[in-house]
Amino acid sequence: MAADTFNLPDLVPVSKGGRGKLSRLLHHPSGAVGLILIAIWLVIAVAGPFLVTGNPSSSASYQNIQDALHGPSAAHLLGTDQLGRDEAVRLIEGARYTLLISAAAVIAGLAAGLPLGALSGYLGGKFDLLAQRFVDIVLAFPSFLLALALVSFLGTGLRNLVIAIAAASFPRFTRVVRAAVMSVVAHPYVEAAQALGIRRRRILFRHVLPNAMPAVFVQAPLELGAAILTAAGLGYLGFGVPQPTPEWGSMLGVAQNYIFGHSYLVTFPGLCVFTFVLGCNLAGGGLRDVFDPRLTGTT
Amino acid sequence: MRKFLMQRAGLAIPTVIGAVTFCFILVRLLPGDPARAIAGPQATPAQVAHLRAQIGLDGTWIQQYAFYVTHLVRGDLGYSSVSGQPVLTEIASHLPYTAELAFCAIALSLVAGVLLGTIAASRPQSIVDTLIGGLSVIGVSIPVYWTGLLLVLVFAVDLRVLPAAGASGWQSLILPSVTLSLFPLAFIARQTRSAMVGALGEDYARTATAKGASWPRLVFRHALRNAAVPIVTVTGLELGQLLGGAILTETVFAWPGLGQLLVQSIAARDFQVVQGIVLVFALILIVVNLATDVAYGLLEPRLRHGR
Amino acid sequence: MTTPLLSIRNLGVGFGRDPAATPVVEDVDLDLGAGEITCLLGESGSGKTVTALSILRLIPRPGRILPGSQLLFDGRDLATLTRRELRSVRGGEISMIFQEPMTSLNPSFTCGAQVAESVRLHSAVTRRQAWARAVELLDSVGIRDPARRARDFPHQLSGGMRQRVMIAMALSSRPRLLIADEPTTALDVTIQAQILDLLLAIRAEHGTAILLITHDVGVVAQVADRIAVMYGGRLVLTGPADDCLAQPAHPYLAGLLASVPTLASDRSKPLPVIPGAVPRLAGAADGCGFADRCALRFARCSERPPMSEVGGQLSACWVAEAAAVTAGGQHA
Repeated sequence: MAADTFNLPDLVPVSKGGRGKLSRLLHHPSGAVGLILIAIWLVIAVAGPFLVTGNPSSSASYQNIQDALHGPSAAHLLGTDQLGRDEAVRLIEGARYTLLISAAAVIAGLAAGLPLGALSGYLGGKFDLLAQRFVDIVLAFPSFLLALALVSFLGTGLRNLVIAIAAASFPRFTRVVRAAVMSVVAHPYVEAAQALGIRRRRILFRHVLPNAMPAVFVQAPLELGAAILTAAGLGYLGFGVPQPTPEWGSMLGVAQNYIFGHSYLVTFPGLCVFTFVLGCNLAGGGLRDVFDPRLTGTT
Repeated sequence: MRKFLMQRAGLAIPTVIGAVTFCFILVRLLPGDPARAIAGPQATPAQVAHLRAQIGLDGTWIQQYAFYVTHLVRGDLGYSSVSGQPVLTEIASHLPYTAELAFCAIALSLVAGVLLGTIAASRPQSIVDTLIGGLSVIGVSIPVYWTGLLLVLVFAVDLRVLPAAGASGWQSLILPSVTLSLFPLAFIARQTRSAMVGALGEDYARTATAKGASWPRLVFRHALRNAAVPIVTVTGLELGQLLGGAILTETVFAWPGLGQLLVQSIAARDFQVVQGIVLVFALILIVVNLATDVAYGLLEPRLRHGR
Repeated sequence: MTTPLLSIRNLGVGFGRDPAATPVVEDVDLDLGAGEITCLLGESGSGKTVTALSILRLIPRPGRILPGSQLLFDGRDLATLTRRELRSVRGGEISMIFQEPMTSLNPSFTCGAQVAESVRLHSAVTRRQAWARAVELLDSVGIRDPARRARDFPHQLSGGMRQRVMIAMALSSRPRLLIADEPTTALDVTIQAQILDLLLAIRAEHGTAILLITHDVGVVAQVADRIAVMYGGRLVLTGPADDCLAQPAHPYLAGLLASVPTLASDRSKPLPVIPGAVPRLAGAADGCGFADRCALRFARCSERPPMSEVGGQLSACWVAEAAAVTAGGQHA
């Protein structure tokens, strides 16, 4: 079709200031703090395990009952757990699992939610109605309950964990993307593009979606935080990755048995979860402020 | 108004059907033969076959679905493989505890949240406002079980003024409710702040001041009344999410509610009970959302009086 | 004039961290007489609304009344009253009505409740008595079927009726001064006439002084006893309405009057306009704020003109002053 090969200037002034956004975020006080927290944990998750390779506690089957349940000391900065393993080493290892599970869940949720939300918002009509009913049904379950229910019937294990957490995440992505797409579609230039004969698919990919992306960028860190909370929650209840794999939630769950007398076991895993999630929420909030008038996509 | 409610109730029906269907599907997600999974590893093939017929896992999918729904409507949710009691009985005995906990938590978070949000809104951009905002972010980032454990540490272990677990007496209600209230409190405070800033900036707030209204009257009578709608909406939403948090909180404090029953049943592979609880939670959430819609309809004057 | 009811002296209002550096209103001296209707005339951005709001200290943060400003009402300086004293003046001796009646009324309460609240805030009566008085007031401002209307919500009323409700609220304690900030701007022309008639009737019946803020010269011509013209945050002209409209002693007012089309206007010629645009902040110009748009400007206009007596009017204009001096000289 001639219009498709037309060298049209972008009908949509897609804001290409990606670098500009990042610098704005870095100047946003709480957003910057969030970004730093996330960065710290990312570094720990990726590089940490390599740093502690030599340490005996990093081995999954390590046990040293003599050393068990000692408080923080010079030898073990954060103390040892009930099997004598160094708590700090386990927490560092645990960061990787937490990040892995949560990130995978968010990506899966996005992979499901983005197309559904985009098509729902762009096509409208019956498809939209049906999709929205479906999303409503999923949202009829409290998100943690949904994840727990899925895990209890699907079984534990990494793959099922990711599916369960993603199931809670994808309806929110769908809603957010749909709202963003609908507000973009409301702009006259979309109608103009259609009138010019440009194929709908092209419009969707080149014009509508890029302007819906800011909403995704804002939602993604928030979803990551929620996923971390859910994953750790499942771990706390004992439905996460099986022992002896270190995972922050399950470490907290075990620590509860030793709370009378060994409070440090409770403090540190929770602190890790808290700071990671805090970073995600602050970053998401900062991104929301940075993108504020641009949530609908136009400059 | 009536039309609005009819519309809302109408929307709820497919959601209910969907929730029921989802719970139906849940059991069939079990790896392998669900009937065997429920019967347990000790059961003989004959027992498994018998069980399959009894709980309607035989026949075509449509037959199974019909079985499920007809029994559901009659209140028959199956039987617990642990206690032998009907699932509905188990749920009924544990539900009051969860309801008590949820009610206390949401009341706490509503009162504290509205208060903090209002204070923040009346001094925007001040230190107080920033602090309260900071508390909000912290509140939604803290895992609820960690809060619970920390509170247990401080009050039960160190200070020894409150019990660490169990449900005996009103003292044992304090820590669990406070723990559970933190998350919704943060949301409500944030929502209250933005709604109140909006309301206090409206022209009618200026008119009230010009009439000679005092500051408390302005805030609590004029502004809050108009900010109530988004606050109520978010409270209703949070009440639903609260049910999820209740599961974790009840585990921390060994509170004998539905959450604890759920976790125990999953561990014991008592799937009929699990299925029943999931369904009940979903139905409660749907009802809560409907109630929120009703409250919204009552509060929004434009809806009450047409035009 | 005999002792004015309200005497504004040296009023300045600024916004932001250093309000004195960026004043929106500067050096306003204005007297309002008892029982008089004074129109404060100016375009958007002239500072007229801010001036009106400052009387009851309703300037929203981050705005502030600058130190040195005086608002003398009945021997008291409103600028220094305590909160409690101010509360009794607001809605009591001085009332205010605003431009947008829809948003100025609380959408969640009935009209009757809002008027009754005004009553109860300034007199110790029971709820029932307040309600009865509210219905009376609604009747007195020309609302038909007041008992029923009192139970309606603002969104159920038309714009004109809502403005009447606002007026009823404002009259509830028989104020001595009613400040009306563009009360008819948001209304149809026909309703506008009715509201203006209502204001005139109020003045006639209760002797209430009215400060009417407007940008509409037509409104001024209809109701004003005295005019005060503001431009760029400063007062540029005050005087008796008839005199000012017939022989404006300031080029700005003259320009405004000339640009209003009348039935007698010559339609073959283009409509006269004042070239240029309104300045954004007072104090932005060192000399006369209007000079850069004024056809009569000359060298002296780079110096700020004080208010000088020009044939019964007070005008901040070197040209007018010079003319007055000349005229005075001629009379001598």
